[in-house]
Amino acid sequence: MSNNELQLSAVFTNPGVRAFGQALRYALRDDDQSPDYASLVELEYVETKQGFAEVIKKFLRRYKSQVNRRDKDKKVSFVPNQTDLEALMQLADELGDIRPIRAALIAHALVYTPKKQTETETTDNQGAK
Amino acid sequence: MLYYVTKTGLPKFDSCRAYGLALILRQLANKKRVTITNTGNLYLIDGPEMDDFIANPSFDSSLFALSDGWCSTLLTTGRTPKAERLKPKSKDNIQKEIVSVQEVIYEFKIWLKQFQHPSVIEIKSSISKGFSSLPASVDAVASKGTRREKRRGYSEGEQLFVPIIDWALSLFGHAHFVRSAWAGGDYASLLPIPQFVKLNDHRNLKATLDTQFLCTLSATTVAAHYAIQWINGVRKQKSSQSIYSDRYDSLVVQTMTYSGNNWKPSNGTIFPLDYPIQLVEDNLAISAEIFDVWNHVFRWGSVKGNEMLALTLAKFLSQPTLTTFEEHAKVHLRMSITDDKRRKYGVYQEEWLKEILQYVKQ
Repeated sequence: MSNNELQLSAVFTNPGVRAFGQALRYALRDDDQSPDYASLVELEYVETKQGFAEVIKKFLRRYKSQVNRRDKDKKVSFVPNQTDLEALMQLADELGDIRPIRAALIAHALVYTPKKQTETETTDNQGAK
Repeated sequence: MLYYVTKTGLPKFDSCRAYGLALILRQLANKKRVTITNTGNLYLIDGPEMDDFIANPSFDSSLFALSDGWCSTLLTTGRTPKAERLKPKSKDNIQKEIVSVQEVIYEFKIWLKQFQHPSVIEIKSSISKGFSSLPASVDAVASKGTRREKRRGYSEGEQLFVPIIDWALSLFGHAHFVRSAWAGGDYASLLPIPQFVKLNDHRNLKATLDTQFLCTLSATTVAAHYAIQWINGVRKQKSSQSIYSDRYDSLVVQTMTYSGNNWKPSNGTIFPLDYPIQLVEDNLAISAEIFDVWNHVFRWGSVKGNEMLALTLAKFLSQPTLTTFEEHAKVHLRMSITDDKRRKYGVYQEEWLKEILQYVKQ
């Protein structure tokens, strides 16, 4: 199977896609602050690899400021780390097509997470630069 | 003993004949086991020997009683799919047709022998003795149309005439095996095409599903929702019975539209069942959860303002590709993040989505 024919479920379970999908989910379902609709709209319409990199960069910036505001309220949140970012961009390089990654990220955002889990989930919180 | 129903290329007509003959054999042999197997060019019906028929068989009178099933079968005659809304003249016309079907079926001793060997069915385009016109509601292909080269003059086109026995069997099968429902102003009829079915199990499953709600936004939503309910029913039987072996191929969908004076065929298609079947075969437990979510989505999508949810899901189920999945996921995500009330409807777990995406084509 060539990389271009990689199954969508394999894209979905990629650690980078999983981490960023999870972050997108938290960013969109943030009830206390304003949800990050801008990143969702940008992600929905991105077509190229360069555009995708730009969208992810903007998303991370917005997400980190969202997390910082949460930290002030003493709620620890999940942030994708450098390894996740590298895995995501490597997958984009391998596939040469953004659509499967875009669909997988949106699918991760659809996953239901009970509110308590969102607030208590902890990571090594290094954060992607 | 094997009985042969040769296919003609009209999928709904062929399936209705097979179901109709199987039901008659079950009646004649006092509800003994009857199975239908799809072999490609014909349906094989494994039923009782003629010696096993009960001495004086009497058909259940409810099979020929005026019902919604008969009204949707003879929609072009009765002009309404509901029996209680029939006008007196239409009611007489429908009852005459049902009596004609009944008379033909009661002569089973004469015609049953011709199904004991495969034989090609003759279909004519003009009326002949021993032939009857196939109603457009039984198969969209039978609607009036130009089937040959025409050089001049105007004509509505000709009807299809089929042997009277096949006509009676198809109408009988249609009345008792087709699920009908409104579909965005049109009237849709749905029939699962069998691969291998035991008639009793099939009838029990249909009876259970007949009372369930269908998302009637369009023909595609009706078909997709029914397909999910049907395969979920098969899944339930599989998990509860170790010997359950019914298999289905696809769903024939036909819609009729009211033209102001009469019902006309609007659309006819085959809805594939491969995708939900793959989900069931892969994981019985997870597929149950997925079907439950989709059932909720179709219910929620039937409410005004949420139509896109059901329409995109139906499109995805009819054609599970990356594009249709993404389209549905976007709509579902937006609806669930903008309204708290919607969150409890159709929420996915990560494992379920992984399973859903496993068979999505790029």
